Formats: sequence, C-alpha cells, structure tokens
Amino acid sequence: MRAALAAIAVLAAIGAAGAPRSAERPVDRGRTAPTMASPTCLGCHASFGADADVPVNRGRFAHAGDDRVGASAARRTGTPDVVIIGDLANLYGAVVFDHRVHADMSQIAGGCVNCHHHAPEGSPVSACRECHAPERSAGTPTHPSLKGAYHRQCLSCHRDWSHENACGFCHTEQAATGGARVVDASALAHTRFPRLEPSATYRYETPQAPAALVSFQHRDHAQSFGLQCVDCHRAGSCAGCHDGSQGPQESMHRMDSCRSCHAVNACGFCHDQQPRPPFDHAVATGWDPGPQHQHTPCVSCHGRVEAFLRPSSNCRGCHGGLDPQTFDHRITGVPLEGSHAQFACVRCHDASRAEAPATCHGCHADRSYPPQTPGQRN
Amino acid sequence: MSRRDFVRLTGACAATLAAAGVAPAGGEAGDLDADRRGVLVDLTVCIGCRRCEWACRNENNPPAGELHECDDQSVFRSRRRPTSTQLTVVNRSPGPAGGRPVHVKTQCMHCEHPACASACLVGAMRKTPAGPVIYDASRCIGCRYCMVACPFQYASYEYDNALTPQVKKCQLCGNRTQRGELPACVAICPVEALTYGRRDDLLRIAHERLRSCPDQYIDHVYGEHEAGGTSWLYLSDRPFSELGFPTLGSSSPAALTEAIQHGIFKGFAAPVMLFGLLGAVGKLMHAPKESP
Repeated sequence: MRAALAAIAVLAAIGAAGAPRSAERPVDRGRTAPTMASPTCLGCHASFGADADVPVNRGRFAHAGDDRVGASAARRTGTPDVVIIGDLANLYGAVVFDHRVHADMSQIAGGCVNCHHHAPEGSPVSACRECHAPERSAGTPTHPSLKGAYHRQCLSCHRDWSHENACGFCHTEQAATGGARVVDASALAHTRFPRLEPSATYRYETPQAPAALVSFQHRDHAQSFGLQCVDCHRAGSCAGCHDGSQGPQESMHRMDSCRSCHAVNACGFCHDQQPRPPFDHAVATGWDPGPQHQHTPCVSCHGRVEAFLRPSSNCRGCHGGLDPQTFDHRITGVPLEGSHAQFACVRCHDASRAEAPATCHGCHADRSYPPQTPGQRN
Repeated sequence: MSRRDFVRLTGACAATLAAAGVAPAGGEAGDLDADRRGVLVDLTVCIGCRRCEWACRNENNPPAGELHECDDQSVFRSRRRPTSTQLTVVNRSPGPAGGRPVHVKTQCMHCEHPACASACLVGAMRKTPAGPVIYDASRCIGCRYCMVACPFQYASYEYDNALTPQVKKCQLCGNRTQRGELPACVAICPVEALTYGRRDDLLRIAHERLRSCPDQYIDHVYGEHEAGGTSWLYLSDRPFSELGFPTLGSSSPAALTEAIQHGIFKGFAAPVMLFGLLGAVGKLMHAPKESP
C-alpha cells in the first residue's frame, strides 16, 4: 500500500512551491480600516521581477486580508490569497489553502517564520521542495518528505486548536480519477475555521484586594476603539483563541498589555470592587458624542490608539478646519432655518466647552432642542 | 561393560547432548548486522490519525476497510494492545490541561536480544541479523512462552483458530522491505512521525534532535537501551512511564537465564562434572562387597 494521502496544503512559498494558483475573492474590509494605495510587490519581495523570482521575508506580512488582525495597515498586492496544492494528490484531492488568512493571522503568533521556517526576516523565502524531496527517501532520511513536511506544518497548529486530524478537514473530496480535482477556491475560503465570538466583556479576578475586579471591555476595544487584534495579541498561539474547549487562554489581563496604551498609575483606572458596564462616552467623560459623532473613529479626536490623548474641550480642537460658511448643519440633526442660518456658532454653542450642548434658552423661553421644542422667542 | 554400565553411559550422554543441543535462541550482539534496520517514532509529531493501523491491516489482514474509518476517535477511550488481526495499535495519553495528547503507536519492538526468541523451545521466534524478529509458524508448537516472555506483552495469539493457531506480531514487513519499500505503517504516515532506516543512523538522528531541540523533548531515546535495545526507538516530550511504556533495565530479560544456561553448558564442563560425580558416587555405593 503506497502511502497515498495526497497533497497537503501549506504555505506554498510564494512563487516557489509549484506555481501556486491565485484566486481573487472579496475581502471583508473592516469597520474603519484605513485603505492605502497599492505599493508594488517590490516593497517586500525585493527580487520580484529580477533574475530570481524569490520573495524575501521582510518581517511583517502585510497583504490585504482580514482587517481584524491588523495586517491591512500596509496593504500589498500580488501574493496569493488562496493556494491550491494538489501536485502530490492521489487518494485525496487537493488542498485549498487560504494563504492570506494564515499569513495575516500569523502576525499574532510569530510571523511568517511560523511556516517559512528557514526564511528568517530579511532572507529569501525558500521553496519547501528545496529541502523536502517530493519522494520519500529509501535510505535513512533526516528530513521529512514534501508531503510529510506539509502535513506537519499544518497539523502542528491545527491539532492544537481544532483537535482535528481527519483528512477531510483539509482535503477536498476523494479524487475519483486518482488525480487532484481542481476546485473553486473562493467558495472554500473562510469556511473551515470557526469564527471567533469573543465576549463583550472579560472579568478578571485579581489579587489586588479590595478592588480585585477588572472588567475588560473587549468589544469596546476591538470595535469602538478601533484596535486590531495584533495590537494586544502579539505572542499568542492559534489554540489560544481558536480552541473553544479551553476557554479564553490569552492572559491579556497582564498589566503590560493595558499599559502600552493606558499610561496611568492609578489602580482604580482598571481595578474596581464592582463589575463595570461597557464604555459609555457620556457617562465616562461627561460628554455625549451624540448621533453626529456616532461613526466618528475615536482616533479622530483622541489621536493615535497607542497613546490616547485627551482632546481639547474646544470643538475646534477637532473641528479646527470647520468653516462656518460651508458647514452643513443638517448633519447634526438640527437644520438651521430662517434667521438661524445667519447666526455665528457661538450664539448657541459654548466654544470653550465642547461637552456643553447647544442651548436655545439664550433666545427662547426655557426649553432646549432637542428633546423639546423651544418656547416663544424672548 | 555390564548392561547396567551401558545404560548409565548412554543416559549420561543423552542428557548432556539434549541440554547442549538447545541452541541459544536470542541473538548475540556479534550476530547482528551493522546495517540492521529499525524505526524511529517521534511522538511529538504523531497526530493519532491511525492510518498506520489501517496500513498494517491492509498489509497483513486485508480487507482493511475504508480509510476514513480510522477517523473514529472513540477507540482512544480505552488502552488497547495489539491483537492477532491488528498488529499495531495507537493509544492516546491525555495531555496536561490545555496541552496536546500524546499518541503512542505500539507493535513488536523487535528487541536486539529478544526474550521471546530465547524462550522459544523450538526456534520459531528468531532474531534476524537485519533487525526484525520473525516468527516461523511451521516450527511453532503453540506453547506461547514467547508471549509470556515478551517484556512489552505485544505478541498475541489466534485463540479463535482452533486447528492452526499462530502467534501474531509485527514482522516489520519483511516482504515489503525486501522489495525496497518502506514498512506499510511507515509508508502511510502522513506526518512521517515514523522513520525507517539503519538503527545506527536512527540513533544518530534521534540524538541530534535531542541536542538541537532540548526544549522539545525529554532527553531519552526509548529503546536505545531498554531490554537490551530495541529496533523501534521513540522520542517524546513526556516521560515514557506516563505514556504506558514499561520501565525496563538495560539488559535483555533473557540475559540472566541465558547466562546461567550458557554458563553451565559451556564446554560441556558442568554436565561432564555432574555426571562424572554421579557416576563416581554410584560406583562407590555399588562397589562389590568382598565375600566373607
């Protein structure tokens, strides 16, 4: 019985391990992910187009991909989203390998060298088959063959988080003709790993009595604050997040993780005796961003994520370039009609206190709008 | 020579020859080929897919069934031993909380100095110079001493075969290796946790791995010395005693019995002395009395 477990997928070294096929697929661009112009492949792969078509590991893999991870900060194009590895296939069909997802996620757990293990940063990415022979040696081999190397590489992580070792997890259906069946790669991408559903809030019991409880608002950090996974999860493992049977594994409650952004020394900033509710800007800061700021990224006012700045309480701290002549006040929900259109901003707004709502009672009787319609004009 | 003397003499000779005629079955170190083969198992690589079980059945007890039937993980609930129809089985030892389980493939270890061959009365078990311990059913008398003698308890018996039962154990796929192919289990292993080759090379590779990845393994090659050395060698990241491996000394279980047996009969000195003494005593006791 000739060992016939067919081809396996892995990190086909770009442009190396047997002419990987690339397939375009829609990219799920995240909430507020910045988009960049497309630099050339040469930004990373120094030798693209040169004599040797060998990519170079420039450290951070930065191809367009899963924006949650944070790899999209510097987009590149021209590398495979999906690689079909089927040149060894016989009993089982080819493997559809989502290179893009793996490459992006690798930022959390070690980088490209996780798979391209003989391509440290700055060195050329070797083709797997340069060391791993397609056929098993009849002598006493010191290296696994190509098939063994593929299997090992994939399973070294997959068996940790998915506890899967069934062939069908990676391989397509058995090839009826004994050859690799080419499949539509795009249909399979993103279907074989569980979407993570992190809790909105993680509560940690710490030895910091009496305020022992730390409520970490994961959803706020990940969604509202615009942080990307890799901003906090840096030295993790696949299983740390994807192994649902283990519960949350990442010890993100270590203070170092928080302090990289929160440069505060007051224990009470995080530690409390009571569980804390999710972040509410109005409660926490005294200023309700209101509907007009609902979709404004935090960084627009607070600067870069890594060092949150307290913005100026003056609206012009953020709206410095606001031109009263061209500003469309309707986006605030309050169209300026009639004589209001002629008012200077400070007639209703306190320019020195951004948190103060506009007042109507300077002119109108007693009430503010919204929620109530102002009364008669004084 | 009287009739009594003749019976004495022939009895002594027969006893001596019978005792000396049982050839030492366990191979001496000098009998082994320097190129003898073995298999190195890296337990940190094995994923427990059980394809080796399927390949072994396919080779030795076809039909082996569907390949995907190996995906059934429920067999790991209990610890299994090789059977007469399944000559290799994989067992799972749960890992520490949150850690990987360890899967251990078990089969005949093909000892360097096999106790089964030493115990066999008729030479049905034999250590070949090339490495494998092979079984010759045509010689076997079914005493199953080999199964009792095996320090690993890996040999099994066809109890359901009333007329021609055989002892069953891994033969290291001699028919495949003679054709230049790998043993069936080695060939099918998708992660190549099994490496077939010269035992000396395997030991060199094993120690090289221990040296280069000290964090990945415990510093022990199981089978290098256990039971006098085995053809199957194992690397692990957890103590072997936690994985169901018997803790064995570095000498073959047959070493003591063979030392006694071989020592006694060496040069026929002991039998000659024993029967010489018996003869002398008999002579004295039956010395003809002088007639009064």
